[in-house]
Amino acid sequence: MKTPVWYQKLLRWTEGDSPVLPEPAAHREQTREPAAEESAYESGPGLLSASAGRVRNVLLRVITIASCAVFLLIMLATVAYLPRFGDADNAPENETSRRYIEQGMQEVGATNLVTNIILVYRGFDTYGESCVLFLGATAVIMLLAVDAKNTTEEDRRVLARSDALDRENRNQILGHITTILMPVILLYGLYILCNGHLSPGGGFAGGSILGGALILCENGYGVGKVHSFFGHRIYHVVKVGALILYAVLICYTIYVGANGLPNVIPLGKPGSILSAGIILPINVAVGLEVACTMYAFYTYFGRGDL
Amino acid sequence: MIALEYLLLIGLIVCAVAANFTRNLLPTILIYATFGTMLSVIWLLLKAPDLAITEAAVGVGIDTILFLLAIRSMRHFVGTGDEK
Repeated sequence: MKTPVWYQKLLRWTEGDSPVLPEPAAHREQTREPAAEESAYESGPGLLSASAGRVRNVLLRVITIASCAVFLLIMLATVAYLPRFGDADNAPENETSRRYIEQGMQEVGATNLVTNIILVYRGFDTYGESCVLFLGATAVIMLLAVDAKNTTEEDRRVLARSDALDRENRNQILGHITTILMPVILLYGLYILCNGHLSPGGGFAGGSILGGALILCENGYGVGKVHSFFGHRIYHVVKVGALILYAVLICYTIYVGANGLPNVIPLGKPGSILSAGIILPINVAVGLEVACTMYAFYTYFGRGDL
Repeated sequence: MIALEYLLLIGLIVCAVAANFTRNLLPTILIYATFGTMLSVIWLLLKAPDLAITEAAVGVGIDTILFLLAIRSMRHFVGTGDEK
């Protein structure tokens, strides 16, 4: 009987045999087994070891499928306990969310309630998130930065040759498209960044779009174009400055709010662009931080330098 | 609108399965980007535009770029200067 193609594919998949990892499945499994079992396994007669290997393969497959099924059932059971979507009776006793919805605009000043919650009521969490991004970018730079100590003459020659190839074979289509798209993307990113307290969006999304624009510039205009206006010094000043600005603003807000002191930052009229107190500067700070991080991820993974 | 939602949900499942069974890495990444795009439209239909924008910018844009960069570092693209 011929097994169907999809079943064979499934088997290959469960055995971890894929074209990008060409080592055979049996070898992969053996490396995971303890050494004692493996030696006993090899000393036996060939026929026995072959059938034992087959039994073990089947066993592994059954265990894999069973654990996947159990995990799937647990997740589905959890979903079944969630309240129904859009039900009027959802969380009726939750006074926190009611307070956010009813008083958020008066207390914080932004018409976008999500931004109110993320950046002010739960501002400490978002600050932690920014710190995680900062640490991630710092770790990437520490690990992947190319300097005199971790490269050989050969590496430098390969990099210089690929840069020269890039410069010679500049992709004209990509360059022209970049010229057309660049202002639009930058404007859209800035719009999302600066309107975070009025409309959907905010620092994280806007910063990602700005980072994507920097990456597009690097690709469309060739290596070194972004570096000419966005070198190491500007990168570090912008990144650290944005994080410090965020830290100062959020510390001030928490200190004032916890002690019942009057807040000197004016809230402004809800709906205008210069309103909502600390939200606009925080959005700009988060956006710069995220844009720098995304661009640093790209360049350090690709070339090992800004 | 309900029909569109069901279409997108079915598309999500199809993409999620197809990304696993595709044997080449570049189509896998493109399928993943399709998955993110459909997910962001679903967020929009569920009245979560903040999440939709973030998913479109980060999940589709930046993630795809980083994945492409990763397979480029593996010298994956045959017939270009990246080939080993």
